[in-house]
Formats: sequence, structure tokens, C-alpha cells
Amino acid sequence: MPRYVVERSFPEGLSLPTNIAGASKCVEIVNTNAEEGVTWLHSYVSADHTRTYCVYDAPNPEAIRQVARRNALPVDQITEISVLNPYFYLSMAGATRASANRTVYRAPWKPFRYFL
Amino acid sequence: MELIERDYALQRLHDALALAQQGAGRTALVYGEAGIGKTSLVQCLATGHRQGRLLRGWCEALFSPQPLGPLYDMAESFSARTQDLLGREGGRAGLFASLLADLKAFDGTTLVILEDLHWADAATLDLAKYLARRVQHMPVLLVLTYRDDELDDRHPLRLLFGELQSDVAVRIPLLPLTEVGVADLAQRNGHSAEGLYAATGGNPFFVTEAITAEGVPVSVRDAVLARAARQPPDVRAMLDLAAIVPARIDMALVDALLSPSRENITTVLSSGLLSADEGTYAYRHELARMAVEQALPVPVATSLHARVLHYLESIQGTPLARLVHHAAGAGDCAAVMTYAPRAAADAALHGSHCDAAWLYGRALAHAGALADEQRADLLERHAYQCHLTSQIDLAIASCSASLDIWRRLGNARQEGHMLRWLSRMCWIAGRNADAEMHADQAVQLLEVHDAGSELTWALSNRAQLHMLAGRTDDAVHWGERAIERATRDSDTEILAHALNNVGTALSARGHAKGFGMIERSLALSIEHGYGEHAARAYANLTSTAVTTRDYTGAQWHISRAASYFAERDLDSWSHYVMAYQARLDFELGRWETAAALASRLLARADVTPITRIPALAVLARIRLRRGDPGAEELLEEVSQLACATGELQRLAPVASARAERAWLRGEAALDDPVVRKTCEMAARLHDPRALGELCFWCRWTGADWTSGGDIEPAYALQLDGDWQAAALAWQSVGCPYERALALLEGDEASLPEALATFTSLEACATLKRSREQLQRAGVKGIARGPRATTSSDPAGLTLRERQILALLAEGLSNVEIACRLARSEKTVEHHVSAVLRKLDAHSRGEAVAMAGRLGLGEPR
Repeated sequence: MPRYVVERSFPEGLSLPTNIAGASKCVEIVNTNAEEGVTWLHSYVSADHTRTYCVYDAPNPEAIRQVARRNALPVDQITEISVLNPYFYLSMAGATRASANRTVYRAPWKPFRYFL
Repeated sequence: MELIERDYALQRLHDALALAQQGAGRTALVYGEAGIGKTSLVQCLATGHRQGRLLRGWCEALFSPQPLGPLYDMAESFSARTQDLLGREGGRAGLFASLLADLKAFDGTTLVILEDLHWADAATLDLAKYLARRVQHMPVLLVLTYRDDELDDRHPLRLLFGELQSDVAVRIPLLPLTEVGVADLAQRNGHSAEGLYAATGGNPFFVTEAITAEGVPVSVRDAVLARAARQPPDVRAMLDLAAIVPARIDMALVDALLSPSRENITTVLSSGLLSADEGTYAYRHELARMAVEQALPVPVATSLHARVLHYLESIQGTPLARLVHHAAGAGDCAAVMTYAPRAAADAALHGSHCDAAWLYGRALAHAGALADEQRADLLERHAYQCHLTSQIDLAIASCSASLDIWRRLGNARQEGHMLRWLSRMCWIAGRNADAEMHADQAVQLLEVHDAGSELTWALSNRAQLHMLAGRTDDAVHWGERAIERATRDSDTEILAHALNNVGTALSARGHAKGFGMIERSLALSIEHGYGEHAARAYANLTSTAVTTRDYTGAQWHISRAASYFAERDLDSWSHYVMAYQARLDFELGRWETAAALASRLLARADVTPITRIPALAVLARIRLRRGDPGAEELLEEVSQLACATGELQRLAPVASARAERAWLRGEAALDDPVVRKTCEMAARLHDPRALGELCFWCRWTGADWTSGGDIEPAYALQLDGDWQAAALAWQSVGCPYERALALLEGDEASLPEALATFTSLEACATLKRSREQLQRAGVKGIARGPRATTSSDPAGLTLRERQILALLAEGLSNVEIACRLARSEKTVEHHVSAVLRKLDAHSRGEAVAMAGRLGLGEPR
């Protein structure tokens, strides 16, 4: 199934409290998605909460729009994407091994934040 | 018989049967690999079904199956009327309807079992489809068994199963036994389970075979052959004979050929390989029969086939498919030549066109000694059946071969007849140039010999090709000759055909008379039962109504067509009409419905290019306007398909989509060769709709292309710069997107409305492009609201007009302003005269001077 990034904007700012209300909202969204075979994997949210980048598996873009409408979520742009993992390249054998060995794996400067 | 690890499957069948008893019929699909126990499971259900009626039929592994074979198995249970229809020519719709009536009339629950559908002929598959679509409200449980691993993706059964709603279909996959199940089975038969699961993979048939073999065999085949090898020679002879007759062999046949002793019969039955039932012997499983058959040395098999054939020939009413099977097995050319064409005709009669094509092909392979005329006739029949089953290359080959024979024999009438067919088949194959050539040849040849109805057909075919290519005058000219001749000769079928062609040609150019002619064609077709012609009439009524934007009419035709198709399963035509429903929804701004319908059609493997084209074009345009991924791939595919046909009606929507894509990307539409080619074609053929749409997009992308001919009124207004009248016109036909495009050319009062329409349609890409275009043209603060800006201007100039004024002050000509604003010259002219009027100026210079005096500077 193809994977997509769905960009959404929330001019008033997105709010999704970490309590029962937030949980039931998420369950509602996930259930509606399931009706069209759409899976919400996770989202990235801008620091000011006005834009989200949501990663989805879906049969086609029409399915994403359909469930977005039912969930009353805005859609600005849908882009089909593929996954690139840099560590896949680093772990490749042969010529890259030496440089892979030299690569220092380390944590980011700051741990990334979770949306709250 | 006790089943192992089948409790759940059996329970689900019983549940489905219980629902059927309450009048909520179900279709149960029982599937799994060979030997997995489908028949045993169904047998178990059938044995327990005592209160109702049981109808059971089998499909057989013949070279070419007997049409509706399973129906003959259960024929005795049906009314006299149904039995009578069963052997009757061309009465399939009537037969199925009568069968359905019998099922409804029966008081109680009916269990209908169709076994081994992977071997079914097309007519039986149609029957399964027909029943499966209709049992929901009847006390009927339809059980279909098949080997799912022997169906490829394009098998008709897959299409049927894909279509069945999950609430009326019960899917029962049978899986191999578990290791515990295998051990249980071995234990019940007093056998060690050691190594048994690993060798058999849990296939129950293989397990039981392996248990009786000595030591664990490596395959089912080895197990069966080992058991057969242990039998005495006379018993072995019975096994060999039974092996070359698929499914079941009549006891009478065995008696006639081998006259087995009572002792041998007892031995053969106790061997566990054969069983006896209602006057027949049968291998316990087809896998066992095939293992023995394949192990027979060729000469032995050949002579057995010859003996069986000889016997069957002496029996009245032997199905032709069986005779062909044994004649081919015996390598008897003369017998194949005798029976194959008759069996083919029989298959065609029952609608099993695939099998008919195969049988005619067999006959042709043995036709070396045949006289020319007969061979040409056989070739034509083969071509026709291939044409019906989408084997178009084979059809064209046979058609050409038949044509060559008639030409050599100097039979002009037949030659012309074949030329006309060849023309039609070339069109189906997308070889339009060849189709045109053969159509001309057919008319020329037949005109010289004035060959009655053949000539009339050739004329109507000529008209049809002109109509399809959009050459209205030619279509009318040739079609009217056909109509005149058909009327004179009272040939209603050709009349229906020709009326449709002329009517479609006329109505596509907006002549109301045309619709009347198609309606007459439709009435004739319904009256005389010409199913295909009636379907074509509905299809053409729908497509022309949509392209001429008579949306109310189109919707009415679609609903009439739907009720006609519902009773007849004319799938390819109903798909075509559905594609136009998608287009209609799309043009009326119901994009969600349109996209869903188009996607559903595109997911099917059996949809022809002429149906795929509109569906692809709709989905591609929706994705383009929304900026959604996947638009490019769709546009690429639909462009290839449409270009291959070379017909304007297929190319126009594709070219419009590509021109719109050029606008969205900020490119010039005419740089796209497909757009340019289609523009030229539309101008040559004077198609107002295609011209309107294409002219519009070309102008919008800055290209100066004028057609000269008449164009669709709403677009004509827009190109004349009268955006208000254009917007009104679009509103009255009901096209919100086109209306918004017109409003986009207007003033700041209309702009927000245009943008709001795009927003509500989720046309993100259009919205983005429109904003860019407005920004570049200097329009600012679109969100600010129109009145504030207008009223703040002392002369009452709109933003756009102030902008034009600024450009006038720079000394630009209308053409230059049009270029700068990416608007048509007419639009600019319109705005300029508005500026002059509002400023009460008589020339451009005066207007600029006046503006200076009023203190109107740059509109920024």
C-alpha cells in the first residue's frame, strides 16, 4: 500500500489534550480511517501547532480525502512518499564499511519533542 | 463419513443454510487446493439437508466442457418449461429467468450446489453469476466449490467474487489439516502417523492415499499408482477404462466394453479406488483418475478413447462435448471434423463463446481435407466467436483467411461480407486506419454487385466509423443510404443499427432530431429482442447527452439503461454507461462520487479501453486539480489509450486535461503535442464542445489559437470577455468549476466566490495557481472583501480596472496588456471600455490624464 504525507493547517492551533477526550478523538479518527482502509501512522506537528505533517498508509489519495472529510480534518496537500533510512546505507557491506566503522553514532543534540 | 478439522467450516455452511431458510439467501464459496475435501464437506451438508430440495451439478475436466453441464445434471428437478428451454436456441435469458421462477415457486429451502467451477464453461459461470446476484431474497443457499489455486487473476470467477457483497457471500476457505489432525486420521485407520504430515503437507486426500500405500509415498500419484498396480489384470483394465472418462463413467459403458465379472466388480470397489453410485462408477477423487490416466501409455489411451467413442456414437443423446473429447483423444481427424463444429455451435448457443472458439479452432486444425467453402465458413464462425471473447488477434487472422478464400473463389458477396467484419474487428483492435480501409473496400465491392442486405450492412458500418470519428456529415450521408435500403427491404436489424449511427452523429452536434432517431432504434431493438443494439442505443444516448451537457437527460437515460441491464447482465455496456455516470458527476462538481465510481471501474480487469478512457480522464483531472499524487500516471495511461483510438470523442477529454495541467504548471498548452493535435482535429471536425474547452485553456496559457468554427456558447462568452454572462451560463447548466473559472476573470466582487468554489471542491492545485496568477497580475488583498476597495476608489473603478489603467499609463496596447495579465485580448478590451466609461473618457490617453487629475496612481 502506498504511503503518503498529508499536510494540514490549523490556523487556530491544533489541540488534542492527553486525557480521555483526546484519546476518544484519536479512536474516532482511527475507526473512521479503517472504513476506507486508511492507516494513520503518526504525525509531525509544527512548534506553534498550526501545521501538521501526517504519515498515512492508504489505497489512494481519494480515500484520504474521504476520511478527512468525515473526520472534519483539513487537507492542504497530499504527497506520495518513500522511506529513506540513512543507516541502511551505513550498514552496506564493502566499500562503505570502513567509513561506517568511523561513523560515530550519537544522540541528537536535543531529544526531539512529543506533541502535548 | 466423519470429517476432521472441518467443524467451523461446516458450522458456517449450516448458519448460511439457516438464513436461507428464513428467506435471506446466501452464496457460499467453498475453496481450496485439489484433495482438500471440498466435496466431502459439501456432501456432509447435503446429507443433513432433509427437509428441502437438493440440486447438485458437476463441472468436468473435458478438453472443452459441455455447456451448462451442471444444469443438465439437475434438469429433472425443474419445471417442464425450464427443461424445454434448456435445449433451445439462444434462449439463455429466458432459461435463467425460468430457472429463477422455479426456485421461487418451490415451497421450502433449496440447496443448489455447483461443484468444481474451475472447470466450468462460460455459460455455467454466467449462471453462477446470475444466481449469486439474485439469491438474497430467496430461500436458496447457492454453494460454489472450486480450486482457488487454479484460477488466474483474470478468471471470470474472480471478477464475480470481487463483486459479491460480503454480507451475501460466505467465504469458506479450506486449509490443510494440522499435524494433530493428520495423526488423528492415521490413528482412526490404525496406521502410524510417522512422517505422514511432512510427506503430505496435511492434504486429506493425500493422507488417506498414503495410509493405504505401503510405506509413505512421495506423491499422490505414487500412492494411487501403487494401489492400482496391486490389482489383477481384469480389474486393472476397468481402472484404465474409467480413467479416460472424466468425472463419472456409465456402468453400461463398462459392461459393453469389458463385461466384467461380478467378482472383478467387487474387487474394484473394495480397492477403494472406484465407487459406484446411481448407475455410474467414479474414481474416489479426480486426482486419482488423472494420476492413472497420465500413467497410461499413449497407444493404450488412444485405443481406449477409440473404443469409448465408438460406443458413445451408438448411444442417442450423448453430449457432443464428450464425443469431441474422445475423438481428439483417439486422434480421429474425421470424427473431430464431424463433432467439433457441432459442439462449437452448441456451445455458442448456450453462450459459452470461449469454448465455441476453442472447438472451432480444434476443427480448423483438422480441416486439411475440407472443401474451400466449408473451410471459409468455419473460419468465419471461428472469427465471430473469438471476437465475442476478446481474442481479437485470432479473430482478425481467421477473418483474413476466410476473406482470402472467398476472394480466390470469386464470391464477391461473401468477400464483401468478410471485409465488413474485418473492418469492425480492426476497429475493436484499435487499428482505425485498417478499419476505415476495409469499410471502404466492402462498400465499393458490394455496390458493384448490389448485394442486397450485405451492402446495407456495409453502408451502415461505413456510417458507424464516420460517427465514431466525429465526421458528422459523412456519417449522415452513408447512414441515410443504409436507412433507406433497410426500410425498403423491411430489414429491422440493420435499420436499428443505422438509425443509431445517424442519430448519434447528429445528436453529438446538438441536433435534437438525432436523439429521436436513437430512441427509434432503441424501440425497434427492444421490440425485436436485439439485446446488443438496445445496449448500444442506451450507451450512445448517455454519452451524447453528457458531452452536449444535457445532464438531466443523461441521468434519465442512465436510469433507464440500468433497469434494462439489470435483467440481462450486459456487463461491458453497463460499465461503459457507468463511466459516463462518473463523468457526469465530475462535470456537475460531485467529485467524491465521481472519483469513487471511476476507481471502482478502474480496479476491474475486464473493462475495455473505451470505458477505461472516460474513467481514467475523470480521476486524472480530479487529482490534477487537487494536486494529489498519481495524476501523472493516470494521464499517461489515458493519453496512450486515447491516442491509439485516434477518435476525437476519446481524445478531447484527455487533451483538455493535459491543457489544464499545462495551466497549473504555468506552461503553454499548445507546446503539448497531444493538445495541438487534438485542437487541429476538433477544428477540422467542427466539434463545438471540444473546441470551446481547448480554445479556453489555450488562451489561458497565453497561446493565441483561434478555431474559426462554432464553439460552445458559455466558452464563447468567456472568450469574448463577457465573464459575467459566461458565469451565468455555467450556473444554468450546473457546472460549478467552470463557473468559478469564469468568475476568476471578473472583478474583486467575483474573485472570492471563485476561490471559495475551488476551496469547497478541494481543488488545492487550482486554488494555488489562481492565487499566484492574481498576485502576479497585481491583485492584492483578495481576502479583504470587494466593496471596501471599490468604494474607496473615487471613480468606482475595480481593482482589476485600476490595474488596467496603470498599464494603460505605461502606454501598453491591449495585446501587450493581455500578455502581461495572461488574459485574452477580448477580456482586456472589455475592461478597457469599462474604464473609459467610468472615467467618462473618449480615448485611452484621456483616461490616463483623467486618472492623474483624480489622483489615481498605481493600484498598489
